[in-house]
Amino acid sequence: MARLRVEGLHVKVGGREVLRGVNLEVGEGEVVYLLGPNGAGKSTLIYTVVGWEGYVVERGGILFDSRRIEGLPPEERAKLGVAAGFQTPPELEGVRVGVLLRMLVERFWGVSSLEALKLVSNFISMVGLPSSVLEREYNVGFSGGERKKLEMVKVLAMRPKIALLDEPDSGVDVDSLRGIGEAIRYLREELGTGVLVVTHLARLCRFVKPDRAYVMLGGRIVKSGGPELVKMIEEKGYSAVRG
Amino acid sequence: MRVREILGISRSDIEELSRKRGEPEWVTRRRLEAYDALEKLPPDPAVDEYVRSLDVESILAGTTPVEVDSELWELAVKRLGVKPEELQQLTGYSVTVDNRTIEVQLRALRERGVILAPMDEAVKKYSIVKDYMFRIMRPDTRLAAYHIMLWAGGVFVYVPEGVKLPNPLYGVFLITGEGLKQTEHTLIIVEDNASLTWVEGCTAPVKARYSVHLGGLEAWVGRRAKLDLYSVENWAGPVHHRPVKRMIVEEGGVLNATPIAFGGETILVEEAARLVGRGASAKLQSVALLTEKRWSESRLEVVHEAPGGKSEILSRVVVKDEAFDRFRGKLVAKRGAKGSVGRMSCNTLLLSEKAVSETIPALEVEDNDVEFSHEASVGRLSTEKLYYLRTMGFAEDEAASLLVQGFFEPIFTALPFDLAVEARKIVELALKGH
Repeated sequence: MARLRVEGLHVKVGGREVLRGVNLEVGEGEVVYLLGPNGAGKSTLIYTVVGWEGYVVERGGILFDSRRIEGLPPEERAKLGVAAGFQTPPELEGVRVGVLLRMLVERFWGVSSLEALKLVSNFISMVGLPSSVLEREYNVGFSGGERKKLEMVKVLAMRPKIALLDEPDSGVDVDSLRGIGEAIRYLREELGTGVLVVTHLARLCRFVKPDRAYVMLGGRIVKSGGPELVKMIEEKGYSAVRG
Repeated sequence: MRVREILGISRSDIEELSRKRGEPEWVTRRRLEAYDALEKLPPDPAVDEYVRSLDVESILAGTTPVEVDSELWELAVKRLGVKPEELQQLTGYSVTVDNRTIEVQLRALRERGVILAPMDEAVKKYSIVKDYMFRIMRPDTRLAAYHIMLWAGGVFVYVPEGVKLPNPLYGVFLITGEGLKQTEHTLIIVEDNASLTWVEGCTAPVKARYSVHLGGLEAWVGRRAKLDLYSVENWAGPVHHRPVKRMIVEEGGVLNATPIAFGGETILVEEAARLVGRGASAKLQSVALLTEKRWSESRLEVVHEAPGGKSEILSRVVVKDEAFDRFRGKLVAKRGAKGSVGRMSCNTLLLSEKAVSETIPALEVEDNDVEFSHEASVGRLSTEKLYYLRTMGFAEDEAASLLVQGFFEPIFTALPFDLAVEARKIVELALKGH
């Protein structure tokens, strides 16, 4: 049974219809790639699933463990087990990385402060961030690559059942990519998290093999398939799936 | 506006007050100077209207010892951020209850020549007091003049040359009972090459029906000396907080003054520093979290009177609900204050539609070679940041609280540890609507 099921989802943003009947599933412990060109609606899908302001569900639904969640506030969805790694997360001035991550781990992992600290430092080193990052203000003055890694740590800290990762591989160097791949593997293998990865390129494939893939174009899923689909898109581009 | 019209007292009432308290003649004279100044100074509604409701009779009648319930005492100390059991470990502390300093403790410091004494006694006992008291603070505003005229109680703090105190000294001021007023005076002298951190907290352990706090502080920072001053105000109930402070910084001296306001009903903070020696520096930093219908005005001023001075006037305020905040900053460079650098910066965060903030900066330059600047920013909590935190499972008020804590964090990290912990707690509770 699918952990996350998106059914016939129509979404408007600023009055404009961006998603036009999206159907998609992510199961427990599955890594699913969501491919598509710019403007296809991939990020919109993520924002809608987490419940961000301004993403209006017109029709269809989002089911998490068979429960409809499209009417829930974002914090409730997070508590159920939905976490997202965003492309351009904001800077939180004065909020220390270590403090915020520890709060998350305490809540989502149900461990003591001390245990939480240990887990946080494991996650930090897993993605290849230095431990000094804990003392810094959240994302303030971070490079693009550092932000991507911190987003991955945040997702790990939330111990999610479903993780939605928006281009975790763009703008990062090969070494960082390895760390991010490592984190995704940990989610899948250690936590049984279902992971939906939005990506343009198949660069990440070297580190994390997808179980399945979807291709999105113009607000709809136009193709789904196994790992071979990723390979085909990489070789032939999206013209191969354009109707 | 005449003193008699506002307070119903005459010059001879002031003389009588001084006589009853057994004060030296110079104290009487300075009280009377303040009385005379009030006769001439233009009215100030933010001060006069509240002073009018002072219980002058009880002030004129002199002070009586006040028994403080140990429970209240512990609560007050806790509010300041000090655990009761830790009190004994503090290097020195003093307690003012209403107008009487009931306890003053000094440990090893005494041997090093540090003085921490009740102000009422200090004016009689230490000749040095005469050279400084109401010489740093002059009756140049109505607030200062009222304070000088009516002061009673408070603490005298003296740090001798070269003595650097590693731990903060705490002054805990309490208001007990209803309708009691406070006019305590603190005089701090930090001699050349000495250093001191002074933390004063005003906490009302019981919900007072109506009180006016007209406390004052003057400080002298010697050559290459350093003074860090933290004043925390967290009054419960309709307390009208009117503290007045004057500081003088000598050559190479460093002053940091941070008034922090959380409670009370109306707050008017008046702080002014004069940089009289070459290369002296001062940082006045006003911090407030204003909720409900609180009204607050901060008047901060630094006057450069010598070359090479450095000053910063900062304000970091969060205004919530229907609260009102006004910031009046003033940087002055007198003739000859060459190479002075001054900066004024206000950061305000508005948490509701009805919250109001006003910024009134003033720069006065009498010398060409001066670099003064001013910047201000007024913002609201970013929706993006709130949503970002909510997608991590934080409820809306928790997310707002995290961002507001973050806004204050640059200030709180610099506070003495206990105080920082307490300040963070107060902010957290206030944002939950407690």
